[in-house]
Amino acid sequence: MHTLIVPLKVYNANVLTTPHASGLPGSTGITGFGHALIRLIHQLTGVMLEDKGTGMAVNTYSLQEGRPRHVLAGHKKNADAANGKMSSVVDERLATFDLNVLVRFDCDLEKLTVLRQQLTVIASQVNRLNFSGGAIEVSGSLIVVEDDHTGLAALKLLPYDARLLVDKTFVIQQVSELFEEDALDATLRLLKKSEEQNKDYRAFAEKSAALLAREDIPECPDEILDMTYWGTLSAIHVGYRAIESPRSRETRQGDRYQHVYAEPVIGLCRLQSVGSYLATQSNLHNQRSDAYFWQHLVQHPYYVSLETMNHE
Amino acid sequence: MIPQQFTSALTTPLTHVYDLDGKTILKTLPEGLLAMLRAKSPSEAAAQFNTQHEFLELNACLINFALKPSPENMADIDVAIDTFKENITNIVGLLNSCSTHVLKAVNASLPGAMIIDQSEKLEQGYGICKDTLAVDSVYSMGSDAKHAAVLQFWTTYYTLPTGVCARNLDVFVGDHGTYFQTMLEDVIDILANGEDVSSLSAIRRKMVSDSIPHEVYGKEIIFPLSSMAAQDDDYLVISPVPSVTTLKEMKDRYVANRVEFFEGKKAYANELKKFNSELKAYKKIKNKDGIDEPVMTLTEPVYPLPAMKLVKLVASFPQNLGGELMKMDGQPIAFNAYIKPLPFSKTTLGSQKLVQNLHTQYHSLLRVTPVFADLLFREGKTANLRLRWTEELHYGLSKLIQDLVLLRRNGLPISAESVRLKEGTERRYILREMAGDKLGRSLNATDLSEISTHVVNTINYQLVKGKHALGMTPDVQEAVIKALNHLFRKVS
Repeated sequence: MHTLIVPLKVYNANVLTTPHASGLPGSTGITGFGHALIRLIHQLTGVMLEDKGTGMAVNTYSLQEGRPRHVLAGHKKNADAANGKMSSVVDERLATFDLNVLVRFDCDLEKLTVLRQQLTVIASQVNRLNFSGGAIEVSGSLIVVEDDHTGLAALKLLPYDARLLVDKTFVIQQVSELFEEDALDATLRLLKKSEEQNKDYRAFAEKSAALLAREDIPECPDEILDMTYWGTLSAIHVGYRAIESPRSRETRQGDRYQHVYAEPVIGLCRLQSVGSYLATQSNLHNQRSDAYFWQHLVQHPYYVSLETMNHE
Repeated sequence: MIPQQFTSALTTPLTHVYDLDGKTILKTLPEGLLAMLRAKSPSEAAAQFNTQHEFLELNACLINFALKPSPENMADIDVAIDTFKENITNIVGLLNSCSTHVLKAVNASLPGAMIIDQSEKLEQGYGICKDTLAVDSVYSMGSDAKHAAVLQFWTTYYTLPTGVCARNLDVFVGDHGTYFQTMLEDVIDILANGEDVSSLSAIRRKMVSDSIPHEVYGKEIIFPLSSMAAQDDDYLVISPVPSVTTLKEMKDRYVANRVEFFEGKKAYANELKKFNSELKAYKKIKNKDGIDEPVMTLTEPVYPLPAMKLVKLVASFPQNLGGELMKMDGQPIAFNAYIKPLPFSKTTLGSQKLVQNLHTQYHSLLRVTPVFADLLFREGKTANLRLRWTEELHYGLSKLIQDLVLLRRNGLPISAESVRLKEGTERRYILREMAGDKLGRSLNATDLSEISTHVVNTINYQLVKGKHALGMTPDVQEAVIKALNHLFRKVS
């Protein structure tokens, strides 16, 4: 497997992807971009690559700033607002990103050679795509990293302090089984725990060290949760759960594909710095336990984008 | 308190329901009946009916509640028949607008089409969705404010003679068997008194078997079904519809957590006030023998849900959204994420100057400060002074090479491709084994001596440039090389 690094600037990306989660683009947006890029590459070069997932590392991030419409429309303060004298508001639906998208793909050597030759052509055409509904601009040269099964070689090319989105959705089920509560309560518990640990890291480190030094395995579920460092967790929109079986309906594509109505599914991700990710990966035996590539996963009624190793 | 039997609910003392001003009486009805109408969950409901006549009376009460002002006898069937006739469009309209998923939460301009999820709840699922929430699915009802008048008729909980808790809505759809379903149909026929209610059964048919629209509304997401979907043209179109159950559950748990927090905060504020006044009094006392200083017992509560916030839905009028969403004023609770940058500090690699130096090709990363330059010229002459001087030299040198070492150890704050260092030796030292390194081997003794020599040369160059004489003496230079070799071997 190989990795293609696409450095991007994204403007006005949609970060209110469902009424349940805001602040991050949905993981279907990330994988969707990777898939669209593979289609674009096929269109431009005739090379068909196998989609093996997409990762995202954010260098800088800011919510869209602007002025409320009613202020701009007001008579007296109109000039002030336009001149930037008044305080601005933040539009929480839109965000601007400076990021690197990492597309993992599989193909033979011949295709890879063609791809390498056509990289500049592809780079000039990538801005035809959207990232989570936002306009994009390629901010550097595209890089192909060969034989990169774990994606670690590609990561070493990125700034160490970029934030990587790592899937942690599988933890929700583990915690809900541990505490015998449902997924929403488990998610709230994890988010609170993450906040608590980051607020006072020293207290956590002492507690965790004391727990790890004990000979017996703690029985209290709260203590088990305290043994792990969870990092900065965030809820993220990960896909859809169909509420019916696929049917033939008239969509914008005609009746070429089947159609379903589906409700959004909320998952969990960790915002981990590239440096931290590389450090943990070199320590663990199982290198892919935390892999950062999000992949389309189809298991009717679920149509989700997750890190598939932990869910299969 | 809701009475056990419906008949006893009617005999409880009368009470009033007031308008918003608190003076105008809107309705007068028995206490037990009002409690039954106000019950929000099946666990609160207890009023049980036993005969068909009681069931008719019960439904008459539910219908009469819509009347303003209410009749003296709430169970009066003649009044109920008149009320039913007046409200028949609302009764039909309310049933027609019930939905488990709301299209209007995606976009206000979409129609309020009925979507009822008939799929089975699975035992396991991913993330937070229908399968992993430990609650039954919730309906959002009402597309018009007028419907609110007859909400009680469809959604009030009562107990069936079998002891099962039910609502007219569930009974009508057939969740509790055909016996009670026919019973309710008979009651509706009596209340309608010859009016046409055939549209109700048409709606029921739609709810049970044909509950999802044939048209496609809202967004269309094209989802690949395999990793080679682009080649095989293997896709599925998905239209998202937010679930009322999830919206409601998130709000409920958010509110529950918040209430707990604000109660804690209130108790803390009271305690603090008391403590402050006690402390003030204590400070005034001159002779403090035998009097204990007041102690604060409570700690300030921490806000429990920093990761959640209000999200404004796109609809301009909340009543466009249906009952459950109307309660949220079009502002459901959502999880909030924000990508925080890594903590900034001058001593770490976040330093702006360092990043600048990495980008430009004119400067070395090493900087000889005047303090360090002075140190190099006051080399100790006696053995004891020399020892102390060497310690200081080690400290100064480790400060000098700090950036180099941290860059090598932690990685680069910018992409390795964009590093444009003038000094090849520094570049090689930082990038060895990392991305951009063509040789791909670890540092050996030669590399370390190379970087040590480079550091010494840079110090000499900067000393001459800064007009600190002609550089280090051979004696000092030897000591510096020795110290550098030691340091680099230790950290690399």
